[in-house]
Amino acid sequence: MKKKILAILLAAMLALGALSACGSPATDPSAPPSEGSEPEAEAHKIGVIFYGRDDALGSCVYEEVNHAAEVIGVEVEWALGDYDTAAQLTSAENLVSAGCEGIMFMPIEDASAQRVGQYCEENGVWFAICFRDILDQDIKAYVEGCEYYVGSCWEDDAGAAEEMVAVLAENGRTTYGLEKLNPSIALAVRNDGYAAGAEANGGEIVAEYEVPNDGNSQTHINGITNFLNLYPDMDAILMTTASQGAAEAIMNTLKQNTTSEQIQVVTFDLYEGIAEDFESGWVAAAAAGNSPDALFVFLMLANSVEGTPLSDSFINLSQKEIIVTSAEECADFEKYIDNPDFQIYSDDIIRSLNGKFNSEVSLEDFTELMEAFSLDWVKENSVQ
Amino acid sequence: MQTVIKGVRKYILMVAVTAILVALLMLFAPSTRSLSILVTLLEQGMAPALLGWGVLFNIKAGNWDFGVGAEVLIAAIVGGNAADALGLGIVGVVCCCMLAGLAAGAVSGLLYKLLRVPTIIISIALMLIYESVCGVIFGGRGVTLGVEYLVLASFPGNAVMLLLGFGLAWLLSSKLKIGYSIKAVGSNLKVAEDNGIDVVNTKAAALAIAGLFAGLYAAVSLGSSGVARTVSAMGTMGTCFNAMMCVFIGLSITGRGNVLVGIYFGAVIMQMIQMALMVFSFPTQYSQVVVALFVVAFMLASANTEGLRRLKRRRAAANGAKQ
Repeated sequence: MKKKILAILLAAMLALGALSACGSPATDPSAPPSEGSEPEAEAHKIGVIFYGRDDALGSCVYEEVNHAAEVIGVEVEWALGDYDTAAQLTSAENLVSAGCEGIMFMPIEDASAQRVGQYCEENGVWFAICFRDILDQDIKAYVEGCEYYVGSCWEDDAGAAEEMVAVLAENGRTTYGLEKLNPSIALAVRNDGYAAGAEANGGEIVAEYEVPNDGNSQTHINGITNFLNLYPDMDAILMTTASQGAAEAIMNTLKQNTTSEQIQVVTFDLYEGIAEDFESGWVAAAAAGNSPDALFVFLMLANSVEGTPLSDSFINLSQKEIIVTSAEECADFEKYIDNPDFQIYSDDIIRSLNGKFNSEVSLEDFTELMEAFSLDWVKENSVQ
Repeated sequence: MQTVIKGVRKYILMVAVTAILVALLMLFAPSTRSLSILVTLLEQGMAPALLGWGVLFNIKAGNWDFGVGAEVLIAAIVGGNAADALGLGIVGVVCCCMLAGLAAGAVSGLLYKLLRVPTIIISIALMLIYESVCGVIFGGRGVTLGVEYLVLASFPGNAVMLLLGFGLAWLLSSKLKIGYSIKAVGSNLKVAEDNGIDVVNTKAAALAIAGLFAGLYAAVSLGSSGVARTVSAMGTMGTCFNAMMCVFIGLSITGRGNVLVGIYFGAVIMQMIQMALMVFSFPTQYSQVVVALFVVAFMLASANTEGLRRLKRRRAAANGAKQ
């Protein structure tokens, strides 16, 4: 009998554990309370569906959006850790049920943009997309035709990739191995950017391996080892992502098997220890600094939710990426941009982008600020 | 002399299949014609073989354990961080990862024993739980080890780990009662039960053993790359399936030899397929299709060989009866 009770208890624990793991997103109720300079009687609520807050980008986005919400007096509800369309749709449903009047999300794939968008449209909820362009033209047309679609913002990843290949070419490196992203995901434009960069600079991508979606470092180790053994002429590696331990696995494998004279790396996103790798010549360039993307989308969405939309139609914003090419720039980047404890934009600037505080706010205010974004601009305008 | 010939016969199939495939690769891809490539392939097969040996115990016991990838993850994160915090060095990393893996596997086994729910359900539930736990513990940062730990990617570190894993797997499968119980349960559950084998305990033990090898694999991964990051939404399934494929290929080429050696060669073949896809510039998005086709081809060949053998035996018996 005791055994049966124990079994039932264990089964219940297991079911609860599984439910907590897969059933619902990591909704974070720790959003800051609205305490803007003009307290609202009824603060509007915006839901944010994002992949996580544990890496450098995620933590910056989390802090920037929470800070902006506090400054303009909007409530934020987070849904973190969704990695497929079904999970993102479930989060959207949960957030709307929790009273969110707007949803900002980073679609994990194009289908997610359609499903979440459709749900928001049917329920009269404003929605906006951060960090992603929609590649599927049919889905894009559908989403852009939605009445409640506020707009999106994405980085010029392909352009950044081309720029980084140009840096390698300047260093005399023209034979590349590609750490490739699966072409079905939105970030795969980085593959295309690298290919275009290689072609434009007289280089060649001689081999590639695909980034594993199970985060298994053995795939990186084997891919890089094969590069080194099969292509002795290879002089650079083009990394499409440094996340999920890819950078550490790749760099450690390189350091154990070759020298920085033989191989250099360019990468998207920064990783722990990249400054030392810049100094010792392993890394030629890194593209990052796109966290303000979510901030601008959030502010744009807040304007629509609060009844002061920036435009009658949808808006496409473009977030500049910063190409870091030295240890010094890397240090500045880590201090001013890749730092969740540092707010890139002052409270005054944030308020100036909100219709409640600035009735004359316009799309141009957004685009001018975004155009000006650079490491130097952030350093000059730093008030903290 | 006879013993040597017998030994060679036992292993000829797995060695011959691997050698033929490597020879074909070298024939069609000139860039692979070097001893270092052969050494690379043999080295690349080591880590997957370790996990494959763990998975083998589950397959032999008739368990469907999809949680082994998540056990690798949690063993790496818990074991790696613990050993690093205590300053135990690489030996500590290996021990802590193995302990953490064993604990993760034991939880799986214990739940199976208590709940009597099919292992496939237990393992999927635990996979989700382990992945989620990994996203919470140690601030969700996973584990990062310093360069002083990176000694298991190359010789002799990798060979030592392979021998350790092989020794452990051989001991468990061929020298201890549990190995024979697992084989008996996997061959015929009812007969095993009738012969006094505790089927539930045996299947639970197989789950725990798989966890132990998941820990060993985690240690090798950490000792090679120095990093393990959190994965969610069943992302660890890939690690599990890769190990299963090594086992399936291994089983199909083992013949009458030692299945543990067969799995190692299966792992080498898997790596060789990946290398071939890279050399021939095969589109990476289809690489899993090719790997899957190879696995199916091996399984088909194995099944048909068995069928032919059975047919041969029946004919020989029939001829004997006639005479």
